[in-house]
Amino acid sequence: MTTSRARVTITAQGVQRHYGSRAKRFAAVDDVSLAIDSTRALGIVGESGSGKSTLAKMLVGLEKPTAGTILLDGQDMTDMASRTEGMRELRRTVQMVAQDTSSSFDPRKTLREAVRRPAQLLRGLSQTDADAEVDELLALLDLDPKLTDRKPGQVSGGQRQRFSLARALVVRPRILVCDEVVSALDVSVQGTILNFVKDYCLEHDCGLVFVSHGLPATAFISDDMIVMYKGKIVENGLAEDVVTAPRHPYTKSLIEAYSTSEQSA
Amino acid sequence: MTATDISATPVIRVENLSVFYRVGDEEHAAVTNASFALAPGDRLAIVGESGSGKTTLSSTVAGFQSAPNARVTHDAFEFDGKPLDRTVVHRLPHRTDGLSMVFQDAMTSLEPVWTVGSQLISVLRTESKRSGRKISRKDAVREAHEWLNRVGIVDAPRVMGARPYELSGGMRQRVMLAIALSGRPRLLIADEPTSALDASLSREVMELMVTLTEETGAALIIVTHDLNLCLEYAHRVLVMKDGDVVDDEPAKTIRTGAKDPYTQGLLACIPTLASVSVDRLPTLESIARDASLAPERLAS
Repeated sequence: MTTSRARVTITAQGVQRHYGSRAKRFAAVDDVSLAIDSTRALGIVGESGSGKSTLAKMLVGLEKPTAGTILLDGQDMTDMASRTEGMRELRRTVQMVAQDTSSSFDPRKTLREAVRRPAQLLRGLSQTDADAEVDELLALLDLDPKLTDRKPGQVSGGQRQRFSLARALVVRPRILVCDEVVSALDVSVQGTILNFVKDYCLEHDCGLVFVSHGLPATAFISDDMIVMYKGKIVENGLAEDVVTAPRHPYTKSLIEAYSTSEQSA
Repeated sequence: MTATDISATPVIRVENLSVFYRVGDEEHAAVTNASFALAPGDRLAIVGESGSGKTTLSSTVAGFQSAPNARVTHDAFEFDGKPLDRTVVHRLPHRTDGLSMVFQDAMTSLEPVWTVGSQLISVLRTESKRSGRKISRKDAVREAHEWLNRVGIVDAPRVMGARPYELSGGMRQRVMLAIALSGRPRLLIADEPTSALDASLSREVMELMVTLTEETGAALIIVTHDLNLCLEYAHRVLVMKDGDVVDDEPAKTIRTGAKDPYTQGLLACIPTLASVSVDRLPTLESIARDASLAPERLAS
């Protein structure tokens, strides 16, 4: 299915996010500007604590920037998130798959209820239609439909991660933000999910923001790549250029670490 | 007891351990007849896909199997020379002296309302009481700082006063490791210890675990999906699939000597920096397909 839809952009301007009291202020994200487009895949890499997860949360409106603005097609995201209709618009357009799937599902609801609910709420589908779409997605993600009767705690982490992906995609978002979606998964499943996400985004005209510390996987899936270090963007360019010709010393050391582990293994 | 006596007794010996889960009226085998023995200083990696039973195996070995629908059987289970009975499933995770575990999910395994410092200090003081080495609170604080520094946390004073939710995922994992190691375990079981950390740091953490277990003579079980890491740091690799152990090989020779096609496939799946220029990553299915098409493989 190829649908050509209008382009959607997210623009971040001088975004900062501070934590802690005024005396012990700590900038998780420090003066970050970037542009995301529904026709491109952007990879964000950085070590733990570099601010990449905080940035991802701000890009979907889950966190408010302390300073700076994030615009979704020209509309301020903080402003959108404060109104019910704006929030729905935001959710319809941008969806996120969180890092920690064990805490992002309601433990008392079955997986089917969890996955079909966004389609009903945000796209106004009837339960039957929503169920049909859920089944379609589950087939694409290679999940056994029988699993949908289980609760989130009764499936494995890899399966739950795929349900989490289904829950985001059932909304048919224009931009998908993935925060460490494959880091907790086994290599064989990683490949399957990464291939799926890459194909899905191309076919469905969906932009991708792929946040991960895993450099090879991010390089594979992204068109453009950003390297974050201590809350700042230190490297920015085409994924291929960043991997083959890194400029910042931090990126160089990161790539070196991967090269040695590949050689020794 | 002399050193030779210690090395003669394995830290842990497990024979034919099986775990079953009851879902509805059916009973599923999550682990079937797993056996291994580890001498002090041995490092074993358990690898497999999600749902292969590797986490079930490691948490059952640790005594943390508390699922009400679980049933455990084993022919023999010895820890530190003493037989233990893991077939009794306790309603709450059952702590075993001398055995520490680092979990996959640091957010839910740390106490949410205690500060990191108080959690670490309580372990240090419990351990010091057990080993008859009396330490003052001041010493405990100093040791806690040292442990945090050793796992790569530079601003120990800030982290000591923080609660788990105030830390990033990677920081929490490092705190978990500090807590587990500060108990000076005989056996450390680490379930996906580095999957939340970036590449350079996961190597540091692995090296730290290796150094510390070597120092104390503790055995180490690493449960991981990161084949690169376990090939580099483990002595032996158990490959699990659908609850069965399909390969049990020394890490040195598994790359060339893996007997099971599944293991060979897993090894080929590891994404590398060269993946930047490919359209699709290899998966177990695509490898199996390609292998069946390749004429030289068909001939052999």
